[in-house]
Parts: sequence; structure tokens; C-alpha cells
Amino acid sequence: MNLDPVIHTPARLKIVSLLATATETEFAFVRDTLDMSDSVVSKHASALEKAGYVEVRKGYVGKRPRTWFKLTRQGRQAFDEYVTTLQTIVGRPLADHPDGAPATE
Amino acid sequence: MNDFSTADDALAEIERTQQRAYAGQRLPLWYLPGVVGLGTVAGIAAEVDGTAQIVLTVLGVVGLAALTALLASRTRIKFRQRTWTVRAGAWMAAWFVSALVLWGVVPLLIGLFTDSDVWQKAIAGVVTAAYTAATTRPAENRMFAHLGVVR
Repeated sequence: MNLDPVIHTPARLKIVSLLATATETEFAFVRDTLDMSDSVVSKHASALEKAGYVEVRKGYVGKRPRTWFKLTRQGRQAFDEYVTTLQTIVGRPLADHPDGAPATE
Repeated sequence: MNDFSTADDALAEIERTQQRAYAGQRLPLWYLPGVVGLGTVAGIAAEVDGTAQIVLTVLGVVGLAALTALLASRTRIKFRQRTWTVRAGAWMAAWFVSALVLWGVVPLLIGLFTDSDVWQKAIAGVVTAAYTAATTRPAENRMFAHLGVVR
């Protein structure tokens, strides 16, 4: 079974996992939540963007520049397939869903 | 596995990361007490007349708008709708309802001691603001425990 090499590094897996929860996430939130440096986030976000998994948007909040990340459709699909592959390897769902329903809603 | 010892480790990392994301965007502790406070001001405005009514109404409305704009400017992640589970939504709804019930019941109790609508609303506002401040984090923690893992 082949795991997507783009996603399958610890830093990128964390970034993609975080982005999967959101429609859009700010650069600083990714950095702070994952306890990474600016350069590490930038490097891996660029790699994900190059692979077509992440879209980068630059904007302003007031006068402050902000950078936002979002998973593309391709990125979500790649993450979904990655998780499915992992689940197949371990033979169990991602997590016991608190409501007793499958983790994918 | 190249960078994780096992597939289990990778799955666990996904779950951990997403829980950290939820915990990373919490409601500021001042927000709900602020909403309650400004709502109380607007409520008291309805009980007074003249200039005081105008001033309090403007204060309430402008204050609520400013508070909401401030909250929006602090938003660093826009969660997907599918992060919500039935239980997480139910916990959040129950918490909001509890605050609203308190806000509605306290004036009735204060009304046993005073006929002043202004005092009834003011005290209800203070009590409800204190309640929301004290319960925001426990309510969030309870809700986070029920958020699903998102793919």
C-alpha cells in the first residue's frame, strides 16, 4: 500500500490534518497550534501548494497583512485517501465517534 | 512507514492535531459577558425615556456591533460545519439556553424584592454575565470532547 509521500511527513501530515478541520486557516494559527517556526510552515505549505493540495490567499485584516491556507478539493481527496489507507493498515476506523456513528460525517 | 513508527501513530497524530486545532480557537472570555452587558444596557434603555433612552440604545447597538467586529478580526480559523457533531452541538445549545434561562428567571426573582424594572434587568445582566464568564471554558471543554475527527 502506497502512502501519499506529499502528505506522509510529520510536519505536512499535521498541517493537512489541521487544514482538514477548516474552510480556511490563518498562517499564524497553523504556526502557533503546531508549534512550528515561520520558515517550517512556509516550506511545507509551499510543497503542499506545489502539489496542488493547498491554496494560499493573502489579504488584510485592517492594515495587517494576513496569509490564509485552505485545502483544495484535490488536497481533501488526497487526505481522505491517506486516512483510508491508514485505517486499512491498522484495521480500525480513525476514531470511535462520540455519537457512535462513523467518523466521516 | 517512513516517518511514523506505525500507521497507528499516524492516525493518533491526526486526532491529536485536530483536537489542538479546536482548542486553539477559543471564545474570548470577555465576549459573552460583553454581549450580556450590552444587551442589558439595551434592555434598560426600554425602561427609561428621553436622552437617556437614546444614549443607552446607541451604546447597546454600537457596542454589540463593535464587539462582534472585534471577535471577527480575531478569528484565525474558520471551522467546517462537519466538525460539529450532534453531541457537541447539543452541549453548546444547552449551555446557551442555560444562560438565557438565567437571564429570564433572575428578573422574576428580583421582582420579589423590587418593582423597579431597571434594577431587575441590571441585576439579571450582572448575574448572567458572571455565569457566562465562569462557564465559558468548562462548556468549551465539554464541547471539544465531543467534536468529531474530520476528513
